[in-house]
Amino acid sequence: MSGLADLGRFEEPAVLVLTSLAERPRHGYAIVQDVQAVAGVKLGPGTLYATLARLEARGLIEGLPAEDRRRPYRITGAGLALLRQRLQRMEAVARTGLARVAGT
Amino acid sequence: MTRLLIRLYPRAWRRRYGSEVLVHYGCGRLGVRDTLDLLGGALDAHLHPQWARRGRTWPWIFFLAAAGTACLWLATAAFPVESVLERYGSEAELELLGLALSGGGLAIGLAGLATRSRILSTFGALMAMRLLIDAVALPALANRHVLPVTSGYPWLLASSLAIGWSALVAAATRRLWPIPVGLGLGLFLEVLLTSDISLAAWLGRNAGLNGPILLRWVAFSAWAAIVAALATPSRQRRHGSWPPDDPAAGARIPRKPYDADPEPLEAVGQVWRRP
Repeated sequence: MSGLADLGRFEEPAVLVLTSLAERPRHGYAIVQDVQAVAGVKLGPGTLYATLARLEARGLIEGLPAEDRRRPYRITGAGLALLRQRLQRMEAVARTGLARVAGT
Repeated sequence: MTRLLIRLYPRAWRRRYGSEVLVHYGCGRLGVRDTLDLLGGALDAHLHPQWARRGRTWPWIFFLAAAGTACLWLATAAFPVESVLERYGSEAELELLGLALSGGGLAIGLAGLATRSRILSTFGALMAMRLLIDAVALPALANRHVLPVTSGYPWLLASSLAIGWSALVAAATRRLWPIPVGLGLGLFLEVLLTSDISLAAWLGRNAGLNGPILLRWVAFSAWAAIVAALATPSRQRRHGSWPPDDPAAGARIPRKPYDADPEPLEAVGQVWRRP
């Protein structure tokens, strides 16, 4: 299973996309809207599809048959495991950081 | 505007994502930020084609080689060909043949790029660079018309050795990193077999073997290696990309042909619907 570290500038968008797909399969524009609602980040179309292509190539998400020219994507088991691992690490960092901020 | 920007993307990308992007971003006015993002995405899609990673070409290395070749071609264009022929005679014709073959390599590389054949594009780039270096760059560096190691007929043989071994190694391993190993092996064989201190010459002097005949066999094996490398289908051609780039309406979705997925694919067996 490939990690996300080699994604470079697409690492953060990848986490956001995986988080969006963890709820249910979504097509591109629905992912953009969900990410904006959850994280306040607006993914541009170039960034979104570059990220989707990378995640698909790594087997972390997969495209489902297109509906009305819009192809929904869903997260795979590997993607879910990787996302869980990543979020747990982020949670640990956030918890430690908040505790340190509170201590100052 | 969106349609125009999408045309900047590679064809395979357009087939895979183009209609989606048009549906989502084709109706309304595209903002400056999204326009720049799509432009950046187009560059990224050319540099890092992810949608069919397995067995794809490595275009940027070809572009690099092609750019280098083009620079050398431009540099050589400054030479007055007629005066070179007058001065050097048939040797110069051989060099011009090398230049022509180098152009052929460039064409092969472009064909490889168009057909997404990594082997073909790499081979073409190697051929173009190697022959051009032999024909122009090395003699110029040595301030001679031809190098003593690879003059005359053995020069073509030497080039075929290096290129043949590189192509064979690339085809056999289906990886790019061993190519320099193949190139190195070919260059080693080249010096070993065709230079003044060559094994062939030594065998001819000491073992009574016919050096030229031996060289002909070596040349034959090198070109056979090239043919074998080119005839070997690439990984992508063997398996095809998945999901199919442009499936026909009503086509059955094929099972994923390579690495098993961590979970069964729900889409397998369903009919691919065209909007």
